[in-house]
Amino acid sequence: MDGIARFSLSTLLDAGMYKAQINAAVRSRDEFCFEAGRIALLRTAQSTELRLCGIKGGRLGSVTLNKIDTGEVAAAARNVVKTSESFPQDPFLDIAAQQLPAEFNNGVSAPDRDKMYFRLSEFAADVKARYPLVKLATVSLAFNREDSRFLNSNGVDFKSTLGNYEVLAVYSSQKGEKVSSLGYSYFFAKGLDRPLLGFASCASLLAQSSEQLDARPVEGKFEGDVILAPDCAGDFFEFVLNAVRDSMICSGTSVYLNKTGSLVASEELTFLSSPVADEISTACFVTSEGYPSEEVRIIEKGILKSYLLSQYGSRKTGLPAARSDGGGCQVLPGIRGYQQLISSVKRGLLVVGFSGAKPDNNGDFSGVAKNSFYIEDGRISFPVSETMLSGNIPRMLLGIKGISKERVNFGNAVYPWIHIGGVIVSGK
Amino acid sequence: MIERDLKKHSKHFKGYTELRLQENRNLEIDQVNGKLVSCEKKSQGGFFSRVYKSGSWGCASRAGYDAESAAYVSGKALDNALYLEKMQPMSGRPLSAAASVHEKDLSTKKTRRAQGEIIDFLREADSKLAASCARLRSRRLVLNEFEAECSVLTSDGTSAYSLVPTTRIIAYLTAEAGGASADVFQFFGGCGNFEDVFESTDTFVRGLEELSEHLLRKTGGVYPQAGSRDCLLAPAVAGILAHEAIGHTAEADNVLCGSVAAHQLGKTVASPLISLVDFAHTAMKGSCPVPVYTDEEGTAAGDAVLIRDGVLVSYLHNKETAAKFGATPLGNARAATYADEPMVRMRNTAILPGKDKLRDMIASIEDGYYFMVPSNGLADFSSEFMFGIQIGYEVKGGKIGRPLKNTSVSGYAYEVLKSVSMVSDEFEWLSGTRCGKRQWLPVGLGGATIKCRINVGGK
Repeated sequence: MDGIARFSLSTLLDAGMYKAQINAAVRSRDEFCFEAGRIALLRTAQSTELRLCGIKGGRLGSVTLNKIDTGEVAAAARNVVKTSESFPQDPFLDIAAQQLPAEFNNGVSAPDRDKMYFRLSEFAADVKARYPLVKLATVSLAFNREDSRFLNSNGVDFKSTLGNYEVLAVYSSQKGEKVSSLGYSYFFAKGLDRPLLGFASCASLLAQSSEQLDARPVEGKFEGDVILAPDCAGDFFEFVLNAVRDSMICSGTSVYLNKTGSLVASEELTFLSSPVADEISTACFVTSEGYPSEEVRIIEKGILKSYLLSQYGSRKTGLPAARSDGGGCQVLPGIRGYQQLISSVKRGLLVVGFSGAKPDNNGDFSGVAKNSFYIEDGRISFPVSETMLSGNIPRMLLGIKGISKERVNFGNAVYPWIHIGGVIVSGK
Repeated sequence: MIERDLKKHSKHFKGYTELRLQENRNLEIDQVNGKLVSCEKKSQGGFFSRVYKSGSWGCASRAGYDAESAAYVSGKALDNALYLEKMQPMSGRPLSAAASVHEKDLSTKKTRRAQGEIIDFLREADSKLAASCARLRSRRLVLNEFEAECSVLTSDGTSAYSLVPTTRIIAYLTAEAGGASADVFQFFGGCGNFEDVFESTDTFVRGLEELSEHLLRKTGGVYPQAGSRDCLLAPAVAGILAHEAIGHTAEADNVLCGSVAAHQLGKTVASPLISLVDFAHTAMKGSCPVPVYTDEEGTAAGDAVLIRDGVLVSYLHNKETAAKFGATPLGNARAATYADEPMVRMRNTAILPGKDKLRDMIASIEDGYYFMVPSNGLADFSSEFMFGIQIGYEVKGGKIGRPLKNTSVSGYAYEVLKSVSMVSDEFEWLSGTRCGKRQWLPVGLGGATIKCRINVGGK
């Protein structure tokens, strides 16, 4: 890969581009998949990706391919030149500035196949024994390895290696002809030192799945509290991430435009992107533009501290750039226990999953509460079905009533339980 | 062009083996308010092999197009299958055989347009739209031309080749009026290369103008009243219902994993007005949005009737599930990229038209909604679904009323389909959609407008 990456860089410059950038990656994936009562599949996948990107006279061209030979690269470089000629001039385009070369590593370098087989078989057996009503639809246990290289014509030269395990379990509970909603557990880990049931919120979600067999709609409609479980908190914070990126800030459509330094959430909320934190197994060492990733506090104690602007977005708006593409999201722990949060709800829902349409630019949203529970007088009362939620995300963040001390680490994000008021809950 | 005939690689086969060479090519052009913001070509391809041993599969893929890559994936897939056979000895049922020899090249026969000409097309369309709809605050057009080229060889006798292009433009529009703003996005396009799908800007701009009119009304939209209501679902929305909430529950791999359809075969699951079909390549005397002639297991494709007159009559199968259920595979085993294994997937799923006129359907609703343009859709094994709605209207006293802000609808599909009381005599495809069952694949969906009772999210 080293040779082809360097060849690609020089070919782009020889083709006439003034500035050039190469992203090259070799990936492998070893995956066991459990389905219909047995381990149904073992896969080995090898892939490559090479992205050539060049700027000439303020015009950008780029091509991505996976045929890694000199003839294909030469053709791709010609295509980059051709593509750039169609582009309007943009004075804000640039590549990353010169930096010292560096190498980054995280995780193990090769899978332990026998251990993967053992952990997956153990998981299937554990689920059968401990949750007899649960039927596993599919469970995938994969090992991912990525060796990547970033080069540009300013002399930037980064190498990174990442290895992690990825688990997706999909299941429902069944009793006679009754079927519960699908449940999901999805997480990443650096190793398989313990049973899969011990990761993320896997065990508690499986236990809740069987309770969902007796789900029923909430009666009528009311404005109440919801407690967002860690498993669905990311769905709502995705709105915040999008609202602070280049696209919405540069186009002026973000609700957070001109709000840095302002209170945009409860003072208990600190939300950050930490792509290289120890607890994150999906580390992203280098940003897509070629800078070492750093932690970015987006909201700190309720104050909007930073957008997630790229170098391009920063040059275009005159605002500071952030050295993160937005991975490794975390909400820092609060001061109350999970049980205290539940106890403080007069009438509302514990929302474990949410199936909703994309929120409007202003943050209005609506959708269905999935695998969720009705709370009344501080106690979880019954599992709900056909119950819809609607509200506004920026107002929800300002209306946070509490954040739990406990958090769940999914390997790619870490979230607590979050108590929010003023959400419309409607049943039948 | 990739190698069409893979027979020379069959020397590596031991037992039931599939070998596939696949290349996916994308051209994506993104234009905002007439200004190009990105234009990128991507290609991704290589060999995939899958070996079946004693009820389990060994798979391997590699990003290479040469004989060495074919030998590597065949050997590695066999090793993987043998590993599982050793670790969990059991007997496997033989697969359903469905050999076919087929070639289908749907690429354009016209002179290919240069990239610059396609960019000019988008600029011209944008300029016409800007001139006719001055109140649009932003216009974004994203063109995606996708070509899937695939050769398949199987040890049970299939040798197939296909090249299927699809082209779509996603229009994202924002309008402002009276201090309020609203957004919408919609897909335009269908099967074929750019030259075949977008011959001139006129038809495309008419579609954009129609969407803009709805959007401008939406700036003065109201929130719907939350709760259960009589509603009309236009073909695009009814098509999502057919795909997400019925189609997925009737995929035989999901049935084996416990979907609600497991207990419904032969039973009434919908109003007798409902018939629902997953078409392979041709429907209503025309080509489907995503024609499939041979699937990635090498099975020649045919139509799969799921619901006939309200009764669930069959599931969707691959070779393995067909053998388990004693059914015939009809070409539903599809793979998104060279690295993916074929899975049970839909092709073009639609509710067949009925006899009702749309005007009579609107007139029959006293207090409800007409949902016209969806955003996204999700459903699960229980058939509980959620669809986002971008364009919709109140229906009061049998007449179309005020426009709606964005909302969502939900329910249990089999219950909702039982509540259907009218089905329109029109038929329409929603083109350019993708399904994300572990692998993102182009699918077609659509059908008729239906009248039903459904849960509405709102204030």
